[in-house]
Amino acid sequence: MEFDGSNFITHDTIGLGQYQIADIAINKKDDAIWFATGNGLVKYLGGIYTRFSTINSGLTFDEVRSVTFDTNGWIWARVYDPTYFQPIVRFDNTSWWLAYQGVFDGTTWHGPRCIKADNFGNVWWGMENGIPVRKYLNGVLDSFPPQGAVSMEPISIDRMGNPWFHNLISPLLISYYDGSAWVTIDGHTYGMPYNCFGVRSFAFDNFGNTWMGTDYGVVVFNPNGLSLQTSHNGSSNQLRLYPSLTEKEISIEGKFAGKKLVIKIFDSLGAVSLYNSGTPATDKFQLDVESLPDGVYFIQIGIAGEKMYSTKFLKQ
Amino acid sequence: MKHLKLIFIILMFFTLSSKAQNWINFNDTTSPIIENYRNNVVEDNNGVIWINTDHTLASYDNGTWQMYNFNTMGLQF
Repeated sequence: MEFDGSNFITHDTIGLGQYQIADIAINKKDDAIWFATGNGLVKYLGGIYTRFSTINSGLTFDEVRSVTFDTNGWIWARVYDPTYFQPIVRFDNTSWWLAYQGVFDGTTWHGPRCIKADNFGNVWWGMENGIPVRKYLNGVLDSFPPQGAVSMEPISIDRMGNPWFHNLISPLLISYYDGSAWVTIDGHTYGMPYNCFGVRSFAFDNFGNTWMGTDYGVVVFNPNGLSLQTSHNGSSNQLRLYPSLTEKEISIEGKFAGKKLVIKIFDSLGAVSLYNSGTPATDKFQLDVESLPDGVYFIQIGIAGEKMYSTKFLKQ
Repeated sequence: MKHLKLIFIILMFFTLSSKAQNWINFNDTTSPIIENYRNNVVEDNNGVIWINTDHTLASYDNGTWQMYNFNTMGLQF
């Protein structure tokens, strides 16, 4: 099913077959949509479905559970293969490579449970048993466990490119890597019930909140204070900037029509990369950031007579 | 002594009530979500949060919930 903003569109199931879709990923290099299915990987581009299975690819088994794209546009897939204990395979548009296979030590198997590429070239996978997190970058596979973790899933990448995991053994513990160190959060502090068995997935909204899908509803938290909608009380919170990850522009929305705005964008070293000021006639406009080199930036917006507003975004 | 206790209770009240809320649990009693089990969440490029369970789909956008009926929307499960 495709949602075009107002309606759901049913696509032909012939190309996908009658198999369950476990995961979907979009290749930003060509906008192809890839499906991890019970019968191989299926690519959808320009109305054409192409299936990759053990017959015509390097997949070791036809049941694929996860799919993701790295910054090269190369596809990574986690295969539900009992022989290789859920191996990871990579396809660089030319050849297939068995990047990783799980291990059975005689009593327990140690295999990948989830995989996701971030915006910095890393490919992360969470493991069941043994070393809980692996990270692959430019041919080097690192062990990357948060302290005290044993088994980690699922994985999601936040707006800043940080990977988030949930600890399978201690279901109330959540960990994310902030680029320099692991940060572990006690989920019960942020609303997870004690009997909550785990987190199925994470999502990240425009207000800096983390959303967690659980077996006891959806838990939303923000250590800096929860804000779930644009405020119209005249405070600096009325500003809404999105998306936090962008290629071309940022939308800025708030109650500022007729007021003078000063906008500064700083790079990660604190140098001013963009300066703009003006008096918008409307409460929403787009800021062109396409000319900025890829990276993390801080944007600072001042509204005449009000407090300064600042946040981060990732230009990619 | 009674006055001291009263002042302490009042101070505690203001301390607790001024603490910012930093979490919320959306479930079948606190939101339009009609199933608590097997919730998956994902955000789209506009920051809209999409929530699905085995039988339902919902979206949350800037304070507004939208529920999608699988039968009327043509979704299958």
